[in-house]
Amino acid sequence: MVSLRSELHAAYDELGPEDAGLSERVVTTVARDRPRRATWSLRMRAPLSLVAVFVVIAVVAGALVGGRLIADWRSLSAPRVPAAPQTPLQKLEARPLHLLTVHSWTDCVYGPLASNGDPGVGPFHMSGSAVEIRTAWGSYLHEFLYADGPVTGPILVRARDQISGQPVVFVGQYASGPVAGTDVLDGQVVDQQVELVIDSVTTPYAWQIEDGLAKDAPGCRGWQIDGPGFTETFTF
Amino acid sequence: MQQVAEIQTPRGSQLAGERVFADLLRPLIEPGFRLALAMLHDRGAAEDAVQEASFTAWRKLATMRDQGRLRPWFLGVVANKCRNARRQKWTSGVSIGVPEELTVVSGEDSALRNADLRQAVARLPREDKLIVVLYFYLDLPLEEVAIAVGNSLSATRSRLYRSIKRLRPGVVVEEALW
Repeated sequence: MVSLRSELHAAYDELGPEDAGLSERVVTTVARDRPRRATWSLRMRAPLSLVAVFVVIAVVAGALVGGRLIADWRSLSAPRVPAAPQTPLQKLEARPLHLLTVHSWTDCVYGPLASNGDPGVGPFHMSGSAVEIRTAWGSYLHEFLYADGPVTGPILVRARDQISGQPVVFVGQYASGPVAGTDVLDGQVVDQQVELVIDSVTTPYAWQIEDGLAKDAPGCRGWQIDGPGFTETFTF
Repeated sequence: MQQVAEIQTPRGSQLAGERVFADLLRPLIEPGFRLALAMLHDRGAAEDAVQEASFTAWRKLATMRDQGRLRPWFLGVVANKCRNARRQKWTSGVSIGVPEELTVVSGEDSALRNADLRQAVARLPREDKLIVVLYFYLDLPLEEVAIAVGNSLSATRSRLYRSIKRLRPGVVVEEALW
């Protein structure tokens, strides 16, 4: 009787053995290119950068809370009139989400894709990375959002799991909007926010973002990016 | 932990740290490559995934508290890199190791069976596929599989059982596990 284990060994071994020199080649390459690669990581992990990130989060959260308190006070004291979006960001937040519901993983197709294979046909695109941080709540991916060229802010990014409808949350520098919960990342309690806002749109028009999804979510992320004059959606 | 501390040191013991890192990394490359090849079915993409995972490992290794978990942790990084590679290659589709046109003649039954099995595994949900490959192909104990995929042991076991049922509907699960 042939076991499933031996069948799988046969099936995958058929794809070919490891290149004999692969281990040394990889180790040599990593050792050689490490400083350049590590710079990016060290920049992200440096304590001062973390402090700066949390200061930005605190300022944004403070501004939001303060702004909302003021808005609440005004709404109580002012005569009731239909609320109209005021700021450019509020106008973007008022736009409905156009993310379709997907019924199963087999229907979850990444795209539309740019010519280089990255999701998003413009003006924004997204590129994945190998950095994934797992917590008891779920996992966070470090990804890059980039634009074809000059764009005007503010830019509002919202995302949902298209199968379960669960919100994709954001942490880090650009996280914004309502707080969905908290999690512990790198030993720090952070707010999980349901919006990502890019106010300062400058060259090179690329931003590293951190998005998280609960571990019980299927993982079919639908993205909607709203900016002045455009709405872009894609699945990634 | 001493070894990890050396790796963290930016100057002075950098060379020693690199040697330690190389010694830690070297035995992980082969299982990492096998995992990537099983997930991606493309040698070049598998090598790229292992290479990228190694860069990530270098950056993250200093945060590892328990080096006993190094292998499943590294394989988890490789799996994540495969996931991203699969995302990036979505336009062209990921080969599942089956020729576009099967021209199997008699005597090539085993090749056909192997291709069928790879195809069946490829159709599993991503995490289930990862569990199957880690458990059956890389021969990892279930505890390490659970660490690599970031799930509890019981959840990993149930996903493995479910995958076995999908791959071999008529087989008693316990028989398939040996």
